[in-house]
Amino acid sequence: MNPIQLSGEGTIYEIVSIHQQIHDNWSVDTDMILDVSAITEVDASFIQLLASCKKTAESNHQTFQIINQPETLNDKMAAMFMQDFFTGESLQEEEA
Amino acid sequence: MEIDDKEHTATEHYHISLRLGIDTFRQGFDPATLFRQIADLGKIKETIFIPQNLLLMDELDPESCYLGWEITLLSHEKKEVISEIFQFLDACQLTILPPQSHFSEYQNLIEQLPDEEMALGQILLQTSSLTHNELQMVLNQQQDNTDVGDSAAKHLTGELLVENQMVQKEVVEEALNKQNKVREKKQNALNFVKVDSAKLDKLINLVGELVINGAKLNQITGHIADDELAETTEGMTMALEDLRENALGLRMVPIGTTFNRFHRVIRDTSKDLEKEIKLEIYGAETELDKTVIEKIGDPLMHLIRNSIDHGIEMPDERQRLGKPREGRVTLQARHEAGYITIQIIDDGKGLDADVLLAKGLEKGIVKENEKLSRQEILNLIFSAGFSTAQEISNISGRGVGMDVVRRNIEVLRGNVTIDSELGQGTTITIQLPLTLAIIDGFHVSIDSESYIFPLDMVHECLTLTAEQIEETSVHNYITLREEVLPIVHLKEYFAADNTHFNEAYMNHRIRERHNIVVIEFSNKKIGLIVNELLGEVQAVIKPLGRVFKGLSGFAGFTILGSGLVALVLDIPGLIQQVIGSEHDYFESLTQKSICSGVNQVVH
Repeated sequence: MNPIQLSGEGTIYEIVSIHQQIHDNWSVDTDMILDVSAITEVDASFIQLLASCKKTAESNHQTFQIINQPETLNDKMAAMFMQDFFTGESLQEEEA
Repeated sequence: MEIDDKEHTATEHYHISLRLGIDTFRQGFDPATLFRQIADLGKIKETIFIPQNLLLMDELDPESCYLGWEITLLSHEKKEVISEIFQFLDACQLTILPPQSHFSEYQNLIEQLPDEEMALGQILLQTSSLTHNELQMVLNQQQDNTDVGDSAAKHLTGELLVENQMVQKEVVEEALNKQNKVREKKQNALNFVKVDSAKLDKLINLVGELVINGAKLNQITGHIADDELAETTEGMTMALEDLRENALGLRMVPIGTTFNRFHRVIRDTSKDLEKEIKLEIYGAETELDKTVIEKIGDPLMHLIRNSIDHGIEMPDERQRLGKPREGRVTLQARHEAGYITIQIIDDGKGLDADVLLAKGLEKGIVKENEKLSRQEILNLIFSAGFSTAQEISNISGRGVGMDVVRRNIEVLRGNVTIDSELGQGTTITIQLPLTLAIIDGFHVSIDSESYIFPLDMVHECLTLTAEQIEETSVHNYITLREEVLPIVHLKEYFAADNTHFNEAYMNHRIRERHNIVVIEFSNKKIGLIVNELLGEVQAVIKPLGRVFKGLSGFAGFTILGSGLVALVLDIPGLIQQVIGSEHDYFESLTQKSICSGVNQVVH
């Protein structure tokens, strides 16, 4: 079960390329594990891509996991109020 | 923004439903920035990411945006301010639902809008319950439905706004109510015509002339045996009666407008005096001639201020006496036999008859050894210069005005009486004629002179039996159906010089035929002896000339169909006059103390 190694700028400028990386390396036979340690920058399009991956994995009854999350990714998820979506926890009383 | 959210419930939050447009990323917008801006306007209480629109990996265009959120925001900002954050986002779906608690604010705002005809969208925009974008979106939706000819989908703006959750249903309903009210008001305004009251006066004068000439025509017709003429005259008489009633009705206005201004008087005055007083109004819809209403305002104001100042006790005092801390002043009006009765009732300390009498003696208004009934003692407060107030107050003065109040009311052919129970309160009753112009009258004669009674007050007419005539020679009352009915011989009463009422006259009086007109006024009855009963007439009341100034007991005069002049009796004034001179009058007639009967009537 090898994680999919993602690299490059996780922004709208390179999002098509990252999408392609996932698409090329993803198999319905294994769990979807994304290693994001080599992602240098993130914006909303990258978070959306991760969300799509999660939704796709769940629709295929696969396990979805993000590993080696850089702090910037966590921050971006929090800023977009999407942490709960990725962790499955409800976000209540969170101040922006 | 600092917001204390401890006291807030979920219904006090804005609910923002956001679905970003497909090109949001391409346009360089970052949802995280939006959230920061939203957070600047309040406190984000809850945010739920909505992944429903998000496509799966195979279908996903990673540069397109499919994100959406449901956001709960606690903010004191207006909806318009919040919506400004999203103004540069193209093609996003946005619904901002205001807090439930804001409904009352929107309701107030809508109510406060000027009474101008506005479209629903305009009303909602002006009260910030809808944004321009939302309105545009709904208008576009309406247009789209019209373009495709989808009649089923062709909804009204209000329905679409509620369907799209842009505005609360209650707010839309309130705005629609406002729209309807404005339309009704405009419609009502179109139904009215403003007329100079001088023109109305002229019309009523002309109707009066018609009535006089109609009566004359009736009389002439009576002497001509012509059925067609009689029938035509009868038809014209009936039409004249309708015309008269309608013409007089034009001048009638509800007394409520005069009454309502006393709410403020009570509020301000009670605040000044540190008293707690509630005003209750009954019969505000009672109609009265405009001239009378204009003139009654000041006397009423004085009487109400008197009740507040001298009548109602201080809250602590009332509590000590076992009364509610809040005093009550009641203002009520009702129609009664051609008159309107206005009462000012307070539940204050009432009048102390002993104090009033002592004050009357002190001021020289009451003579030593003069015997006054309780009613006469209470009426002392209407005497010039009479006051029992210990301290001068700027609210109601020192009672000097009560005399003016009485005179103002009498000028209107009305009368004022007072009733009071010590510790319980005071009731002041004002009776005013409904109209000063034309009345239905009852024509009688005394000797060869004609007199008119207001028909509304005529209860019945009787011819005295021999026993009753005998009875009147001894007493000035008769027994009518086991009830004592005081009577007044008008012929004797109106005689300026009564020296000819000697024994011969009294003997003649017994043999004479006696007709009695029983008058009922203010729940009391009195019999007035006249010679002849001549039937109903419409009487146009004309004022008596200067020569007759000071002559009380008469409301004016009228011209009969025959061209003769008849005096119109002012029954309340006559009764008052009888009270004033009862001792002299009755003593001069019979030398017997028969005042008790009349007292019973008028007190």
